Amino acid sequence: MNRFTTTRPPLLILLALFAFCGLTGCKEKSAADGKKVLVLGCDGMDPRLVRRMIDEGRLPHFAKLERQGGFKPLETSIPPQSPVAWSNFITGAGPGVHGIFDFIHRDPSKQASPYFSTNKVTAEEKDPWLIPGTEYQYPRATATNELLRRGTPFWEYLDQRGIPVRMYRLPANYPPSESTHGHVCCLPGMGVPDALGSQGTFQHFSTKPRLESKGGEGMMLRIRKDFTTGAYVARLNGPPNEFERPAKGQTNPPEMFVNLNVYPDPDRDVAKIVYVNKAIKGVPDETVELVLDVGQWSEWKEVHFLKTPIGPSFGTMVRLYLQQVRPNIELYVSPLNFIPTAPAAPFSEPADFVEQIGEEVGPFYTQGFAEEFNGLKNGIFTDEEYRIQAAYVLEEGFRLLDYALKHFEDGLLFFYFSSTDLQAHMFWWDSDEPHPTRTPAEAKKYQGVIEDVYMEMDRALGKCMDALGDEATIIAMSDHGFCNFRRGFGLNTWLRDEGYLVTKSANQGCLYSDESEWMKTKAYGLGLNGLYVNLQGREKYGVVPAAERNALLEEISQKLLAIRDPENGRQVIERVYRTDQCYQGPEAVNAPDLIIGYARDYRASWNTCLGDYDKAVVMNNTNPWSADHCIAHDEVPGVVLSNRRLAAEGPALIDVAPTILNEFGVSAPDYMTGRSLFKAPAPRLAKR
Amino acid sequence: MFGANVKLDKALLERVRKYAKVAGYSSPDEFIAHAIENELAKLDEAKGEGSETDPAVLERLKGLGYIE
Repeated sequence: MNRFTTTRPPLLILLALFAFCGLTGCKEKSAADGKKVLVLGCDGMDPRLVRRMIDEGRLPHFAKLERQGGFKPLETSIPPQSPVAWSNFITGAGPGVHGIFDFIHRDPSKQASPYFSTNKVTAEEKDPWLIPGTEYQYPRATATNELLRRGTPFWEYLDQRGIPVRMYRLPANYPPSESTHGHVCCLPGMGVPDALGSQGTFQHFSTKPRLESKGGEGMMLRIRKDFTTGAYVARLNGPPNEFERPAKGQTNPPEMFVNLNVYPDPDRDVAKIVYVNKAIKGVPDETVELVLDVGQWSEWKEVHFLKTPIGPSFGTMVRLYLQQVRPNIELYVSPLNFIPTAPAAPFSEPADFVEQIGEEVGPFYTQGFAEEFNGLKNGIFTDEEYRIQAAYVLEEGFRLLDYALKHFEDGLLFFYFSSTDLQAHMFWWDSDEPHPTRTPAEAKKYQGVIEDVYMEMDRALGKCMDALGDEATIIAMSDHGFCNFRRGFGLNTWLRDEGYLVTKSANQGCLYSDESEWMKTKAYGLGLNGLYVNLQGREKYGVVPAAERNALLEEISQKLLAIRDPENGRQVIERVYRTDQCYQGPEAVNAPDLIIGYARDYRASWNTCLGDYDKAVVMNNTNPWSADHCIAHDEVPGVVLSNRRLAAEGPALIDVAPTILNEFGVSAPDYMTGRSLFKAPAPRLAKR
Repeated sequence: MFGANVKLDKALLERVRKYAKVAGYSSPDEFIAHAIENELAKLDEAKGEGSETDPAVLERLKGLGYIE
């Protein structure tokens, strides 16, 4: 037989093929069959600024996308808040389908009781087993963490077909939706708490005499000198220890802590910090020592809280920042973050996805709001200190992006940057009006920081384009734009002044105090944009009959639109949206009755959001959080650019999901009210 | 027992009789008295008691940048 006519490949050829695959990592093709789609999400990226910077030649990669396929404003959600907007993106439909209307929702059965809109932790009530002769107990109660977003995420339809999906720092997906077919990996972003269960609680220690406080934004604590050791002791607070019995008279178990011993150098601006990670019995404790100059941030440092002498241990990590050693020691400690390679609680999908990332990338911020804006808001950081910390977050983002691109074969890759939003909230100022906290020169300087961030986004886009080539479909988008936040509107104060919200006296109090006269109240404000009718049969103490609801909403709407700022005569509220008209879907019944669409420069006052009152109806914003987007949705569209032609007129956030599905040959389900960005326009008939 | 009589329309009275029997009340009067007591208790609770809000939840929400 002729050796070339054999039906089996020669052995040498087989061996060569196996060797080649071993070297190149040949893998079985996925169902995506080589098709690649990248969505780069830059939270809060504003089309006006992008337009100007493209025209100035400062965003060459965004400019290239525009030439290839186009650049259009992207209609945002009603209201334009990130959890709402990203939920629109995730479901391809509006709040009537996904049920997210604000950062803050309320429980009508508990009368205006607020809760975080995107996830809920419920602990069961179960008595622990007490361990006799000790101060310990075995906790039997378990907690469930529920994602409150409803509807089906678009990637489910890709997962079903075996198309790989990789998502990094995806907002509004914590806890992450389960991958039902195993082809989806998600590292959630916005919504992931710190290890204390909050959205980022810093701890600031000082030898300055001051009252200690422990609030939702941060803890202002004292450092006290231990005269036996000479160390200044900063007690770093951890979570409650469910394995330890509550003290007599208390219902909650005590909080764990680790002492940070600070030794300031007597002559130089430097300090040594020493602490001990206690280990279980029989294992040596780990002593951690670090030396910081004043003005220096540490790398990530693990802090372990041992629950009992035999475990378990609760692992976290922090970054420490030494602000000062004299005349006072001032030490800032970041929120306690979950350790990526060993999270104390699972938070990625699959659970080991974040561990794989951490093994290669090293430690990175796992909490959703990585930028530590609470430090600046509370006067702990200067503008420059915040800029430096936020720049570190951006640098970590680029390391994550490198990882994401390296490990992307085909299918969908979604990558998210928070910098364009969380730096903009603190630094954006695009007018000559007086800034809440900065001089005109400083305001201009820090607006320049935002422009630098946009150029970094361009650099990130360039990396993606280089890595993926022209065959990949690339979409760069944002969830909303930005504008100055110069004046606040006290919605509850206005409702009270107009007689819709009744309190016992003219004094302050809040919705939750015994000042509230619910049986006389017709409407109340909660969240950043929500107004609720105190509806009979819906709210626990509802008094407005259903038959009167329409007339009441019409009356309130007209009055809101008629409000003029006493400072300058400007219209404060540009739009008032009736959710029964602009939302469609089963979740619409849970929405606020009205969404308040503030004009540019205006937003709900700080006190309004959690049901508190203000002294005035319209007042200056004096907070370093000087820019926002929770206003009329058509004032703050996001952006969409692509290397494929953006044929659709008036593209919206809800269009991105159907577009992604179509790219993989998957038809969008009927409930998705969006349509493909790349297809010729059809009239948009469906509500958001 | 009552200091005053209360008039109910026929249809409502019929429903009261039906549900009083099903729910095991000794008489429609007892059912009506109990229903009114429940409503009054809610109103007493509502008078300036505010909502059932966990202060810890409020504090956590304050960490959200957008809120103070």
